[in-house]
Parts: sequence; structure tokens; C-alpha cells
Amino acid sequence: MTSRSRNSFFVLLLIFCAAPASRALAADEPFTRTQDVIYGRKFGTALTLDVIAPKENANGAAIIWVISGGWYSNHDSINPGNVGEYLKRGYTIFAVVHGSQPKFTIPEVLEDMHRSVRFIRSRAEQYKIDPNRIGITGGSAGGHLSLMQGTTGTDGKADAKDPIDRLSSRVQAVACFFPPTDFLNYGKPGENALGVGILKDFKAPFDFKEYDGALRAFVPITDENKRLEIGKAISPVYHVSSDDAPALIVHGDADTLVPIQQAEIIIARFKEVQVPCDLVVKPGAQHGWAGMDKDQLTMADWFDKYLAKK
Amino acid sequence: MKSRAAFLFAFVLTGFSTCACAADEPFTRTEDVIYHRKHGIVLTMDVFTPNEKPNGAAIVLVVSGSWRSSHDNIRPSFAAEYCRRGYTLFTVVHGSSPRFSMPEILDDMHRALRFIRSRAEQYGFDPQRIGVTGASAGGHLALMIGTAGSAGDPQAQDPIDRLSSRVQAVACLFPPTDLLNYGVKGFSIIGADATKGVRAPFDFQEYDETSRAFVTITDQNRRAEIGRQISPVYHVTSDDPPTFIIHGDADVTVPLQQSKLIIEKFKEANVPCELVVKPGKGHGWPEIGQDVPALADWFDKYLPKK
Repeated sequence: MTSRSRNSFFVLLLIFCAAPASRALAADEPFTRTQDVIYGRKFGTALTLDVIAPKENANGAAIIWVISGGWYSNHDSINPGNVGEYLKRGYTIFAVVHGSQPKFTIPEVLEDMHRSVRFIRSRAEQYKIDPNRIGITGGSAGGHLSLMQGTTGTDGKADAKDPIDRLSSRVQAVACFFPPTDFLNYGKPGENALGVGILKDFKAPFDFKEYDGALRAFVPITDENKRLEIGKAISPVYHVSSDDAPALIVHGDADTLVPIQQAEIIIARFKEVQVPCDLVVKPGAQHGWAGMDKDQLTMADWFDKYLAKK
Repeated sequence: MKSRAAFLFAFVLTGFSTCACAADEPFTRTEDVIYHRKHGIVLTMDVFTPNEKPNGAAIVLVVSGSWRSSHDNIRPSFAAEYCRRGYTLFTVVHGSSPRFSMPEILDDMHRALRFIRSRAEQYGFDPQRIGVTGASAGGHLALMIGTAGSAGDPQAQDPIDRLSSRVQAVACLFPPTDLLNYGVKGFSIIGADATKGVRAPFDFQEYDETSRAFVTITDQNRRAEIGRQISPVYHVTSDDPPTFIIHGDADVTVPLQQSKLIIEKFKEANVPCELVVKPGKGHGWPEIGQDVPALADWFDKYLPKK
């Protein structure tokens, strides 16, 4: 990665994560924020999300906001100011923090995401949302995770011990910024980005591990074929099918960290299987740009259309 | 020795009786108080506050067996004896094996102590009257806090990390104390010979700035050095808190020798200490709940009102 693209990654972090917000929420904020709702537990730890709900004119639909940049996730990065348009339109926002790199890998993060959708669905009544009107959004890694949810959301396991795990992890609409979609053909056919090449500064999320029952420990997966198989499993483009959620992508055509080709190939797949989709190309834009909040209007329109009351 | 190590994994606190949470329990339970954030996840503890006559002291119970920890393993019945005596009980869940290793777990524990100290006023106890307890791995972590609790970092950005992680008393059950001389001199439980039993807590890793990823530490000298750092016996000094240990002399999972070693060190350093040996007892026993009052007595003695 060039230092320029690395910089643009941090620009993105700034835009998505570290945008300064005053800590104290004024009483006249148009939303309420419930922090640190535990949506799952693993290895002694708990996973949390914040619920940001409009005080007035709630529209009964939910948007999951994936708090992720470079597969880093952090509660401190939640800035309700970044989802103002959605709140204005009445969406209840679930800001999901996932197990973060460098400790956790993408397969682990995906488990967190599925669990979060199931949990949110289980709380539909409490948060006054329709469990069949759930959208998901995010940028970059958060966009990747959004598309994974849109393409690989599954029914619950009917025999799961925890009732939450019996619920579906599907979403009904996706709108995201510049998402990686194919780690095995990254920028061009055959280009491997599993923590190498363009994504060489993002090694940790691709340090796949498996539990070894005999050793009772996690061991790294080093077999290259196995790694490629996992690379496929975590790339949304290979999961596209006709029942996927309608997907909107906004992507700059000068993005060097996540080449626009990534959006183009998944949009082509969506079209093949007739999933409603759209790609908004931002000419000359890189990995994040000033005025991204205006693009949220386009995304909100997408959610309005595909999460409409039935 | 391999089989001894393997037993660590089978350890459960089967002895403690569970009781239905009746309304007349001597405590009020607050679940999932967040004490730490790292890697996007949160670490939590439950707080049991006495319903009557708080005595102004706190007990930290380390929820750990084989360095596995889980919120589901918190047994409210543990709390009854302490809360009846007026203690506020903090049951700390730490990042669990097999996904977290011992140095990470110890970071959680120190943070938990600092956090608890920061909430002394809220929960109404004296931050200089904190005891720690646990069994097996939980006993090991209790002794680590007792012997290696440290002053806070005055430069820390987070005010909580400026506080001390020291405790004023330790009372625990059958704890590992010297991972490099486990049962017999020279047998390292973190060495290659023991990997069949307990490997995950000893899969030491470090963050590599160049690759921006965690890498496994394989150098045997460095591993041994970390083994020393995570063994309480090497941290004993004269300013350690009074320590009480109960241990069965038929324990094959954590040999009694582990307690004898550290008690000897405490005596050398003139730290008040006591070892109660349970003849014929293994790694836990059915009527173990009856030994909790002895632990609580130790805290009564060494966490007095000032």
C-alpha cells in the first residue's frame, strides 16, 4: 500500500470514526441513545451495540450501522452525528461494535455480525421496529460486512439452545460505501488481498485460525488452499443469489485501497441474478471524501424504497 | 505429569451448592458492569451489594477455572456468605482461554481492580479494604493480584489506570503458584511436555508493529521468562497482603507443593500467611462450600475497619 492510500484509510477513519462530537448529549437532541446493550458473549467477553432512536416520527424500520474501518471496531467511534439523515427520517439505528482486529479475524467478526442481527430482531418489540424491515450500512470494511450480511444472512438454527440463535440473520436492504467484495480478485483478476498485496497492512484480520481439539488451542491456518477457501467464504461476491437484499454502493473511481472494480463485480453479479442494485460512482473520489454526508441522502432514499412499510 | 495438567481442564467448582434466587437473599445483584474495553469487546463483572449492614470492605471473586471464564459461571450462592457479613462482592469475568492467553487475562485482572477501586464511593466501601479470592486458576489470579498488584500509572490517559491494582488480603483455594516448577522442581507446565493439557493460556503472543498483527512467541527463553512473570511465587515481597490458602493433599491437578512453595516464600518475607491442608482431598470436594467461612474469616481479620 502506498502511504497515500494508507493516509486515505485514516481519512476514512476520521470521517467514520473519530469525527469530533461533544460528549454530552444535549437534552434537545432529536434522538435517545442507549449505550452498551450486550448482544452476544464469547470467550468471557461481551459484545455491545448502541441503540440510537429518534424521539419523534419513528418509522418502524431499523438500520444497522456497522462500526468498522479496516476491520477495527471501537465503541468510541460511534458518533450519532454521522447518521443524522437516517434519524431525521425516523429510522432506529443500531450501531454495532464487533470484535476488532488485530485480535479478531474476519471469520470471527462475521459471527459477531450474524449474532447482532439476530439479537436486534429478537428485540424488535422492545425497540418498536418491524423485524422484517432491517437495513444495514457501513463504509469500507463496514461496507464489506454490510454486503456479507446482505448476501449470507441465514435463517436461524431451529434447534439452537439460545432462542436468539433461532432467528434469521437476514437483512432487507444494504447501502454502503466502497466495500471490498472479492479478496481473491482484488483490483484485477487473480490479485490476492488476504492480508497481502494492496491489503498488506491489514494482515491481522486475515490471520485465520481454527480450534484444534487435540491441543485445545487455536492454531493458525497456514495451508494456502484452505486460506483461499476461507478467502472465498468471506468475499460477498461468491454468495450473491436471487434472494439477496437490494444493495446500493457508493464508490469513488480513484479509490486505490478498495478499487472500484470491487463494487463493479458484485453489482454485475447482482444484475445477473436480478437483485435490485445500484452503483453510484463518484468521479475522482478516493477512499472517503468531504461531503459524504450528502451521499447519505441517496442511501436513505434507498432504505426508504426497500424498507417501506408493507 | 501430563495427566495432571490435563485435569486442569476438567476442573469445575462442583462443590458449591446453587440456591434458588429467593427474595430473601442477603444481596442485590447488578449484572454486567463494564470494567474494560479492548479489541472492540467489553469485559464485565457482576456486583453483589449487601442488603443489610455493609461493612465498608470489598471482595473480588475471580470467576475462573482452567483460565476459562464466563458470565454463566457466576454462582450467586458464592456471594451469600460474604454479603451476609457486609462485604460488597465483585465477581470478575476475564477474557477466557482458549482465545485469550495468561498475560492478557492478567491485564484484565489488574484493570478490574483499578476499576473497582474507582467505584469505591459509588458502592460505599473503603478503597484500602479490598480482598481477592478464587479457586484453582481463580486462586492463581488472586495470588497474582496479591503479589504483583501495582501502583497506577500517573501519566495514564484514563483516570482509572492511574489507580492502584493492589489488594489488602488474599484468601484462595488450591492455586498454581509456580508454573516452571509444577509438582516437581524443573517441570514446566508451560513447556512442550505439557501442551496436551493446557496450551491455550500459554500461547503467548506479541503485537508486531511491522506486520500489524499478533505473532506467537516461540523463543523458549522468552517463554520461560513470561512463565516467571505469570507465576506468583516469583513476585513475593514483604509488602504483599496477608494470604490464606486451602489445599487438598491429594490434589493431582494442582499439587499441594504449589501452595507450600509460596507459603514458604511468604514466611521468608514476613508476610502474614496460613496454609490449611485438607487431608485426602483432591481438586475440589463436595462440601467445599463449608470452607468459605474460613476464607471470609481471613478477610474479617485482615480487612478491618480503620
